Amino acid sequence: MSSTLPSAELDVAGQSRALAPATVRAPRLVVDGVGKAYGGVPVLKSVSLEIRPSEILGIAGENGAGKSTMLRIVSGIVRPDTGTLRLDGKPFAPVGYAAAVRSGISMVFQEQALVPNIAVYENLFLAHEKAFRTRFGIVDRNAAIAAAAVALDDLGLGHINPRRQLRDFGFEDRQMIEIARAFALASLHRIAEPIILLDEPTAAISGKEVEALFNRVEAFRGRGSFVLVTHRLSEYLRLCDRVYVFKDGENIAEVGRDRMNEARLHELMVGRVRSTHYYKEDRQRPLPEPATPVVEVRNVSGRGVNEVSFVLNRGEVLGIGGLLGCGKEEIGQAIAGAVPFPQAGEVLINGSPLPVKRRIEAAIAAGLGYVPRERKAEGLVPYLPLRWNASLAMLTRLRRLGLPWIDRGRENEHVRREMTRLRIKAADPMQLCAYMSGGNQQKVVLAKWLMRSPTVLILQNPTRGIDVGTKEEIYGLIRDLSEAGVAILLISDDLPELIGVSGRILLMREGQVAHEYASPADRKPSEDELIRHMV
Amino acid sequence: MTQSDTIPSAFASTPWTAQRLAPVLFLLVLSLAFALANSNFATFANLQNIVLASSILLIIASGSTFVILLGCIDLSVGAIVSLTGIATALLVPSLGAWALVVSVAVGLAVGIVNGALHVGLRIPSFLVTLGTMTAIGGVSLLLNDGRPIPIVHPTFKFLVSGTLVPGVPNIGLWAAAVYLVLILVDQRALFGRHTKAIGGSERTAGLIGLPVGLRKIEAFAISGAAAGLAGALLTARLQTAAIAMGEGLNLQAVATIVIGGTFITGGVGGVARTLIGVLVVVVLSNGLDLLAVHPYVQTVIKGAMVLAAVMAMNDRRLGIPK
Repeated sequence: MSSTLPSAELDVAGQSRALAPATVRAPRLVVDGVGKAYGGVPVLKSVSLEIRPSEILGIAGENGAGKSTMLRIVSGIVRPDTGTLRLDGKPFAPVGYAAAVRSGISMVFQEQALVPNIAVYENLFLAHEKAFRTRFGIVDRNAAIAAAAVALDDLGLGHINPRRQLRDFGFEDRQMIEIARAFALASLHRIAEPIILLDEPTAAISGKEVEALFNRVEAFRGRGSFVLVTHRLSEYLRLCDRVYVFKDGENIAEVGRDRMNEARLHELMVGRVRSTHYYKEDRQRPLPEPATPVVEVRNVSGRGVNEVSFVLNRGEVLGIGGLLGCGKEEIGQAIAGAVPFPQAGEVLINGSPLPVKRRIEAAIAAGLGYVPRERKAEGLVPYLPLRWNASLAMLTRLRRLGLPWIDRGRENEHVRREMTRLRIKAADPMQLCAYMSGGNQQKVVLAKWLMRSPTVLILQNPTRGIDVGTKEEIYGLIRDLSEAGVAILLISDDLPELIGVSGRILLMREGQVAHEYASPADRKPSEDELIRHMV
Repeated sequence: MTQSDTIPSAFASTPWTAQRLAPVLFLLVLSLAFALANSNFATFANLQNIVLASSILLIIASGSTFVILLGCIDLSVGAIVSLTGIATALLVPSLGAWALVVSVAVGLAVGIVNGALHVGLRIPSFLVTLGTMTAIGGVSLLLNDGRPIPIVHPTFKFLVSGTLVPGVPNIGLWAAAVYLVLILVDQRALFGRHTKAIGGSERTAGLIGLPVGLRKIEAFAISGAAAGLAGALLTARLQTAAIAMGEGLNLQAVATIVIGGTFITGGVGGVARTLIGVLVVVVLSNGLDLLAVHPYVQTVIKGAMVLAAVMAMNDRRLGIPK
C-alpha cells in the first residue's frame, strides 16, 4: 500500500526524528513501535510517532484505522501489547487514565465520560478531589467550585454554573464541560504544558461551539500540545501543524502544514480513489419498475426523530447517513421496535402496520432482521456458544412435534450450513462468541437472521470495528441478499461504505430527513457532497 | 483462544472448560480426603446418609438454578418449604398422600406471584422474594400458631422412607427424578436455552423477540414448585412439620448452585452442575460430622468454603483479559 505513495511523504516518525534539525525542541511524547490487537485482530501494527511541544498534531484515518486506539494507549486507558512510550525523555507506561492525567495527558472523550447526577464542578475534578483536600482531610468545596468557575470562564463558558447538576445542561454544553475538564485538570496538577487529546470533539457540536472550541485550542497553542482526531478533514487544515495518516493500523504518512490539503489527506487515508470493486458496485442493479415497497415509514416521531417518512423497496439497499445524534440510529430502532419506542407515526411491513407494543415480535414475525450497532451488548450473548447464538432467533421453528423441545440435529445442520455460507471461522461450533474476532462475531449476528430467511434487514454500522477482508465479504453478502430480493436498510457512519453500497441515500439532520440522494453504480455522489448536507 | 480448552462437543452441551471441571475435581479430592481420614466415610451406610441429606437440597437447588441462570435470585424457597411443609401436615389427615400435590401447587402459586411481581412491577427479584419470604413466613405462623404438627401416616411415610429400589431411600428417587427432568428442560427445551440467553444478555434476547417476561415468571414458578415438593417430602421424612424446617435453605440453595459452577450473574451454568454443588456441601458436612468437628467450627468452615468456591468460580466477565 505504502509503495503507491510519493516517497517524500513517507517520513514516518522514526525517520523524521533522525532527520530533525537540532534547533527543534525535543519531542514531548515519543511512541515507538506500539502494537495492539483485540481478540487476535491487530488494530495497531508497530506504530511510531511523536508529539512535539506547543504543536497541534492531527491523526487522520478511516474508521478502524487505529486512531482512537492510539489515543487510548497514550492516555493510559489501554496498555499496548508491544512497543514503548517516552514522555519528556523518560519511559512512560501509565496504568489507567488517572495516572496519565497526573502526568499531564488528558483526553476529551468521543462518547461523553461525565456523571449526570452530580454537580459540574464535581465532574471537572472527579477522581482528582485530593487536590482540594484541607488539613482535616475534607474536600474544600468552595475552592473546587472557584477553580471550576475559573476553568469555565477561561473557555468562555461563564454561563455554566459549576454548582448545578450536569444533567441540567444540554448535549453541547456537556461537550464543552468535557473539554473544560481537560484544561482544568492540567492546571490542577500544575502541569506547565499539558498534552490534550481531542477524540472527535466536534462530532456532536454545532458551528458556534466548534468555533469557540477551536479558538480556545489556538489560544492555548503556546501552553501545551494538542492531538486532534476528527472525521472532518477541513478541521485538520484549520488547526494542525502536522498530520499523521493512519491506515489499517499503520502510520503511513506524515504531512506537514505546507503540503496539507483535503484531497491529499483523503487519498492517503483511503489509499486509493474510492474503489468500486471493494463495495461490489459492479453488482449493483437498478430497481425493477415498478418497485415493490416492503417497509413504509410514515411520519414516525419519537426520541431523536421527528416526522420521518420513507419507503424501502424489495431488493433495494437504502442508506441512511448523518452526524452522531442526527436520529439515524433511532429511526432504525423505531422500525424494529427496539427502545426508544416511537411516539407517533406508522411503520408498515408488506402493507400491514406494526403495533407499537410488542413491535419487535411482530416485526420479526413479518420477516425483519435487526443487526444493532453494539454487537456485544445487543447482537450477541457473548457467553453462549456460537451455535446457540446463531440458532437463537429461529429456535422456535426447530421444535420437535410442535412441542417446546429443540430438535438439536436440525439445529446443528442449519448452523453448519450458515457457517459454511458465511465462512465463519471457528474450530468448534460450541466455541463461546466472546472469544471470537469482531468479524466472526458479526457474521454470527448476520447468520442468526439469515437462518430465518428475512425479507427486511436493518443494519446499524454493520462493519464497525471489523477487519478489511471481512468487510468486503459482508458487502458481497449484502449484494447476494439484495439480488435475492431482501430489502436492506443500511445505517452507517462510514461514508465511503454508505456511498458504495447503497442505491439510494437519505441524509438525516436533527431528527429529520434533510436530503435524499440517488446513488446508482455509475453516478455515485462524492463524500463532500454528502457532508455538505449533513452539517 | 478457547480452542485449547474445549473438547469435541459430541458429549457435552457446553464446553468442558477448566472452570467447569474445577467443582468436580474438588468434590473428588474432598471425598478422597475424608475417606482416608475416616474409615466410616466410604461405607454403604454413609452413602445412604449422603443421599438422604442431599435429596431435599438437590430438589430445591435444581429448581432454583433457572432463576440464577436468568441473573435473578429466589430468596423465598426456604419460606416456601416451611409453608408447604406445614400445609402438608395439616392436610395429610384428610387428603393422605394427595397432600403432596397441593403442596406443589402452593409452591407453584408463590413462584408465579414472585415472577409476576418481579416482571410486572420491575422490582428487583432480590427485593420481591425478600418480601414474599417474610410474608409467607407470617402465613406459616398463622396456620398453626407456630406450633409443630406431628403426622402419622404410613403411606405418606413410605413416599420418602420406603425402598422401592433396594438400598436407596425413596426420597433419593424423587430427587433423581426432579434432577433428571430439569436437566432435560435445561438442555433440550426452548425454555432452558432462552433462560441462558436472557441471563447472558437480556438486551440481546429482547431484540431477538424472546419472551423475556414469560420466561422469568416460568423460572420462578419452577423454583417455587420444586420448593413446594421439597416441603411435602421433608414433612414426610421428619414425620412432623415446624416453622423452622425451611430455615436457611434459601441461602444454601444459592450457595450450592454457585459452587456447582453456575454464575451468580446469570447466563452461564446449568442444572446438571448443581448436583456437584449439593454434593460438595453435603459431603463436607457429613465428613466433618464423622471427624467430630465441633458444629460451630463446622459453620465457620462451611462459610469459608462458600467464599473460596465463589472466588475460584468468580465470574471474570467484567475483566476479561483479552
